[in-house]
Amino acid sequence: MSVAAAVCVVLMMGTSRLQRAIFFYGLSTFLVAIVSISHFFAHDKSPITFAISLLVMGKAVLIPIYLRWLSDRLEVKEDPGHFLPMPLAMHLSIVVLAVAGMPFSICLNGILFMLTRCLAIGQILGFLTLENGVALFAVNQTRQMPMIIEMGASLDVFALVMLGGTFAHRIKKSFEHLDVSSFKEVQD
Amino acid sequence: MPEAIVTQILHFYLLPLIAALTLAAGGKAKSMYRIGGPLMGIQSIFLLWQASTAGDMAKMSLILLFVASAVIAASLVHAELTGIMTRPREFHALAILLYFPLSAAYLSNNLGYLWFAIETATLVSAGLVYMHRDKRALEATWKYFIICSVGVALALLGTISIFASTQAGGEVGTMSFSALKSSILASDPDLAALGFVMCLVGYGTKCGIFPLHGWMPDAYSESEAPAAAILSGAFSPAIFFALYRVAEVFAAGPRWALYSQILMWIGVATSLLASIFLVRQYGLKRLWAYSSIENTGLVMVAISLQIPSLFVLQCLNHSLNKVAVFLLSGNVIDIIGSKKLSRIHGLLADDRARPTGILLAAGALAVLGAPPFGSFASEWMIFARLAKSGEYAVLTLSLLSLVIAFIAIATHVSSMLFGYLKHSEHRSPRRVSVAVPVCLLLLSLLLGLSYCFPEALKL
Repeated sequence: MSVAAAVCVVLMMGTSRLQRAIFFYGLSTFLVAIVSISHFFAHDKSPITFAISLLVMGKAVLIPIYLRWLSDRLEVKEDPGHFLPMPLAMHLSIVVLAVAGMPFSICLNGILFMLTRCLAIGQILGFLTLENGVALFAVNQTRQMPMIIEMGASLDVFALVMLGGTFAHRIKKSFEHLDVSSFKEVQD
Repeated sequence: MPEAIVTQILHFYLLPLIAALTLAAGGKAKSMYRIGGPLMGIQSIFLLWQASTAGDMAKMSLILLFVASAVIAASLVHAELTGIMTRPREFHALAILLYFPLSAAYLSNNLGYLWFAIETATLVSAGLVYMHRDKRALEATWKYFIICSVGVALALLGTISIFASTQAGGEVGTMSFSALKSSILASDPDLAALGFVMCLVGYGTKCGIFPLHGWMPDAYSESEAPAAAILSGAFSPAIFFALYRVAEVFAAGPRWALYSQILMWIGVATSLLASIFLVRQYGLKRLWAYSSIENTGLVMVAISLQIPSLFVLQCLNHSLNKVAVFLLSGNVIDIIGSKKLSRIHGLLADDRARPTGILLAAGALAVLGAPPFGSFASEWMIFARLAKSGEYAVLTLSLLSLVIAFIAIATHVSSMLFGYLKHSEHRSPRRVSVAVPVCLLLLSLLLGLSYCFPEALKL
């Protein structure tokens, strides 16, 4: 299941269409939630793990819906990408998956996604993927994570998506595009 | 205890209420937000009072929290005295709101809570960067928001790794600092190492260690001066504190010799590169941003030495001096109408700009660690300690970075002070107030004198 989540991230890396990338992000988050729930039934059966699984499930459903709405609203369909062509980025992400192993490949591919996309929504997606990797690491490596951390991480994700969406609106309004890689006004 | 109740009311009810009213109040109550600054001042006096009676570790947290509240109070009062902020109500609300995660970060005895507090503070502070609402501010805010969020996510990975490492051998695991210090000895060494590195990278991104400092000059130069002062003087020390606490846990572990070397060398690389960047700077607030990065390097060296008093002193001086120069830079930008160093000349030639110019020179000396300011004492003690422990390479490179920074900043500041003043076409009608920077620099001076001439002050 974890491997399937990582493969979804690789597929996300290979597409330039935003809607499809959002779909693959949702699918990989859903799979992380399944891993978390199966962990609940197999190991600790603590209400905390179950609550966390529900939170991750919420992330898998609500965030893709919001991001789809956002990309429709901002009228963006394609991310032209920058720094690396998409097929090359996808192959690189397969290498990362092979070398770094399970939870870390999702984290690293999340950062790679942020580096290779130029739209604001693409960068938010990359960050969310990184956060998924961290969540999977928490499920795999620990027993009974303190609730506050999971709540904090989820709050972080939801607040970041909302704030990121607000900033994306403002970027579109002031710059008339969403290409954050072309930000060159403030630099050394 | 009555004072405990009063503090509790201030902590938990009054300040959030003011922050909420600041945004919600309309009509005649619209100027209600103005009491926010004095109220934070009262809060900081309470914290200082509490710190004077607290135990060692609590004293360190309370002193740093006092600094945070004093910095917020100073920035709010200065913003009110000069009327420099474009959105004063929102600025007050966000600055007071930022105080809560900062107090949680300082007062929690738990690695997880600490992370949660820093994360919340990051989200709140994004609003402070975006006060000016123009294109450049938006660009800087986006960079700050995305880079720091990645940093915070990596710090979460580090926090989880440290927690997982304490579960080795079927233990329950802990995140409490006091328990971590003893359980780190029996922890899984690889997971603990991953935790240390990820916390260093994550929190390091937030405090601007090289090469993760990219967001800092942009965010400081594009946010308005009092907001930049809060980011540099109140928020950065909280991140230093987080790094200090993580390092403190590992100082009890078997690999500390290696970790302290890593911290030390990252610190030296950060200060050396920041001082080189200082040479060719074009923006006034970017200059102080790079100077903050240089200071981050010195703080990292102080963290690697693991002497609490030295660390607190360095943070205290950083806050006092940086807040003073950021607030004064706000005055300069307001008078001249530009933040480009190439356009700022002749501050001493104009009656309106002269007090700001003289204080900016004093502030620059304080930032550079010239005697008799407080930073001289802390930097001197760091170098003495490095020499004592035989770290001559680190000592030489740190001194070199200080020399480069001194020459660079002295050149830029003297070109601002002398020459002819060219006013902007629209002369700013706002007041020029230097009351708050004067107080901050006097405090820094007093701190330095108390270390340089302890006998004289005892009399």
